[in-house]
Amino acid sequence: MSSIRCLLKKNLKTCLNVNTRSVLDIFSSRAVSSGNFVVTEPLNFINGHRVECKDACEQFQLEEPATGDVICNMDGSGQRDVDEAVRCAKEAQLSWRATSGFERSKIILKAANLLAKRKEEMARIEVYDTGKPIWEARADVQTAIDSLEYFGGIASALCGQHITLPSGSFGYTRREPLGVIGAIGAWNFPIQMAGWKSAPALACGNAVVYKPSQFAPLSTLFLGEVFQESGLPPGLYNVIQGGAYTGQLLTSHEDIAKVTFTGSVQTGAKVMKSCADGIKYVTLELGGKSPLILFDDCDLESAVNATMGANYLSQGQVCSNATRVFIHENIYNKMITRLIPRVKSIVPGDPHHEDTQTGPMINTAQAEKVLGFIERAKKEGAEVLCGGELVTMENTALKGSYISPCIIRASDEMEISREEVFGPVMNVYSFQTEEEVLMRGNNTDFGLAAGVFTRDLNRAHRIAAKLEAGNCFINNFNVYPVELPFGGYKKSGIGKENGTQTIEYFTQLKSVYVEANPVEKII
Amino acid sequence: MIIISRYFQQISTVLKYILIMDNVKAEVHVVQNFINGTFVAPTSKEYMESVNPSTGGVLAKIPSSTKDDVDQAVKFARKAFTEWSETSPQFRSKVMLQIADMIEANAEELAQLESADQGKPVSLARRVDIPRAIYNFRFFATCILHEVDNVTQLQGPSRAMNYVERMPVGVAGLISPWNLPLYLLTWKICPAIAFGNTCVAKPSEMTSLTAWKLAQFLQQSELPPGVVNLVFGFGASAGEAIVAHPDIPLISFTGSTAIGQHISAVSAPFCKKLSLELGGKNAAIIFDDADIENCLATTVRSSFANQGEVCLCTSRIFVQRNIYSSFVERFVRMVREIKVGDPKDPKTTMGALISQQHKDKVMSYIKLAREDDGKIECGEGVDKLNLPAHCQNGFFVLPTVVTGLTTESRCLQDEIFGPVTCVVPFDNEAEGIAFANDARYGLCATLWTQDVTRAHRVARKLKVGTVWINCWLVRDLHMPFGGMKMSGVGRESAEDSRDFFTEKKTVCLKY
Repeated sequence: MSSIRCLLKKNLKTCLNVNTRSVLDIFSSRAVSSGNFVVTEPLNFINGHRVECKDACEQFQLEEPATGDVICNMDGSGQRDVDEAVRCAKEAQLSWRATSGFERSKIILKAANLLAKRKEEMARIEVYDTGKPIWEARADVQTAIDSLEYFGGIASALCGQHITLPSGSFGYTRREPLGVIGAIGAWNFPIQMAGWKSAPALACGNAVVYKPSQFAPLSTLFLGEVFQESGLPPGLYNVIQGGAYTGQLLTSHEDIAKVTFTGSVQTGAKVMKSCADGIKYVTLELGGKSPLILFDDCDLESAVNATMGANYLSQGQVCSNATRVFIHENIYNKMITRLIPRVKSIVPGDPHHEDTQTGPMINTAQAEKVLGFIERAKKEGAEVLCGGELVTMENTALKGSYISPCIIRASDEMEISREEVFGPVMNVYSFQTEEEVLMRGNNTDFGLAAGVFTRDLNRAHRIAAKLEAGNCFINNFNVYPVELPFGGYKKSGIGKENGTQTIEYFTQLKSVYVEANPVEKII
Repeated sequence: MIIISRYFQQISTVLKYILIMDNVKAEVHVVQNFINGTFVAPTSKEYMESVNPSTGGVLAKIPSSTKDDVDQAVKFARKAFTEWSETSPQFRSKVMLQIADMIEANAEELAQLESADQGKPVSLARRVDIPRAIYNFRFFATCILHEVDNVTQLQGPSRAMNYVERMPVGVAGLISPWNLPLYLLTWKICPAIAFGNTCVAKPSEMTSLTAWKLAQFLQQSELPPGVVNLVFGFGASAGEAIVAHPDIPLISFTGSTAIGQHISAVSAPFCKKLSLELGGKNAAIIFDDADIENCLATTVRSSFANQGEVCLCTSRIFVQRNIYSSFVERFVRMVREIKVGDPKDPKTTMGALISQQHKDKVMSYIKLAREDDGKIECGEGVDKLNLPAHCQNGFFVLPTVVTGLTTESRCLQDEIFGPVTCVVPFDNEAEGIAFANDARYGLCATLWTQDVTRAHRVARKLKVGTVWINCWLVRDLHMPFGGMKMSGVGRESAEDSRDFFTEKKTVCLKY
């Protein structure tokens, strides 16, 4: 029943006395703000328990992005920890795979229900972990709930096929679980990814060993406790903390059947290589440099709203963001005139406050990386239309790295037009013709998302057909309902998450041939 | 050398064409029933005359079949079912592809026959009717090669496996109409036999010739006798006998709503599976942002193709008010360019209606339009019809455009099934949708707009089985076809026809 127990720095005693009270109880007793959160519980979750690392291979200091304060020290899990987690998962999966889909469904739906009840607590933890504004964090938790409900519903509906063959013989196929899934999440949407990966994996009868990013490790633990409370047998969902080394231990473990990874292209390539050695299934959700194309017949207000949402949520640290916005020359000035004041109005603030529109970058290193991109872009001749600077916060407690949201007018060949920046930076370009913009929009190694704004029926669907991206939008952007498969083209990834297709990525297919006749002598 | 040989080839094609035309003209075909792989006279020995709609002359003698003939056909169809239902899809596929090839090899002859029998321009039969009949065979012949059904595994206490076994249903009763004779007959025969049924089919008594020709190909193919049986004659005798036959468990009918209702009532005591493709009163909804060139050309076609005798034809055109008058003006001008005349003439774009009776019905609606204060913009009573001498007794009606009527007028409520279309203005999207949905029928609609949001929004709100956006009659046979409301029951497509022509059996195995 325990959640992540927190200690309010100034009121240590209160917190120690409320071991069984949820974080929410403490939050509700006072206005929440950043800088009052520390974690003392062990950070691995194996076989249904919070456990200390037994084989620590490295040390991390977990920082709160908003303040830069250290929330806790964290061990990176070593070989023995990973072995233990995988062993427990393997054992638990043997009976889970034999559990009826209907029973699995009940447990997963219960977890959805519990998570919905504890949405606020979870969202607060997500804010401490990632620095994103609280209202965004709530929406993220909702996507995890959606995923649990969606795949909870599917668990009892898994089907194979029956194939009639000549002379009374027939064949049938069985969808069977893969075994133990190694899941690796990124730091920008920790709870969403934990939901998107664990819900279908568990629904299909697999067990999960989850390694969250070392920068945002807490919400996955909270989810573990929710699963525990929902009656999920221990060992089916485990969390091991650590960085790249721990990740490598996980992906190369011989009892891991499949790896599902969200992160950068570079790391994705390493994960895939590691999976290749063990002949493992792999799903990769990687980076993007997605185009959004605005034609001159589009609804300008909708286009502005979508462009903002396509770039400045979660401080721009979103893989599917439309960081390359192509605007038809006839509306270019009009759009820019509307966009600049909107972007300038986004003022960084304490992410726990309801009216804060944007928070801090995940850490100083990421902020420096983003600022570096902007500097180099300027040197290449790009024009910064607004923002792109480090902001010193009035509230001195907020010592994290805050960047003012930025618009850059760039040209196609510049580094900033080709590389994923992963910060609040939007590039704008003007274009003349459809043919030209399609060529420029598709001229990238990435292929995660793409969008078009136009009223023209023919053009809308024609362009959607020609965009080289896994997720295309007509007259909107960055909308990801759980019913719609999500995944990238080109170097943005392999495989899909969400939608019924996901079942194929968490099961393997067995064909059974049934003979109806005596077997004749062949040889 | 090549040029010369091609020249001779062309000449010989033309000669062949003329010969065939003469054949059709001269000969009075005597059609026989096709039962158990042989051609037999009707037990009554009675025949009726089938006329050429473009001349009024007798084209063929058709068996006037009765219950006795249907009983014979059903008997053999049942017998054939035992083996045919056990054949492999691969075998059925092979036979059907063979038949498709035979139709294709005789396409020109069939197109000529279809045109002479139905009244449609031979160019239309050549372009649409016969190619589609060939495609029906090929489509179902190949889609049975990759059929699958669901298997589920129940874990835990009730450890069991479920799978679905598909059973052909039995002898199918197939009743097809006179507007697209071979096209719609094969649209029923093909799925019926592809999924392992046998059938007794009755084409319309007014258009039996291509069906009879098809039977000749069936006889020459590897199709076992009795799998497809054709009984010709009137609906009231032969059709009724099929519908009421206790050994026919499923009926597929395409025709009028009135007959559909009758079939429904007669077959009800037998709990038969029914697929009814009935009438339509299809709307075109034209918004002011439509691509007007494409819209005009397609709407002329969708209103008057096959003399307006297609259940999918547009007969109510709703046009946004600000483009209404210019639309009517241009539409009428284009309709006047339709050339009504001898179906054999390559320049003809519209032929004769199916019968005098049907012509009278269509004319009565034009009269009604006048009585309702409608304005005849072009066509009957306004323009003059020039026909060659040999067509003077044909059943021709000029393409007619009516304006000035309200949606309550019977011309906008009843299915006329001829070359008459009504144009009515509307003010806004809500009104356009309301007008379109204000009908007893719900078969299809065409929707004309360039706006992506509106296109999909309006399409959702139309109560019809098919919505064509910025096009008409573009068909993918994998997609369901059928009507809402009084336009029918059931859908037809690879998947839907499979559901109709098979029974699903769930086999649950505890292990």
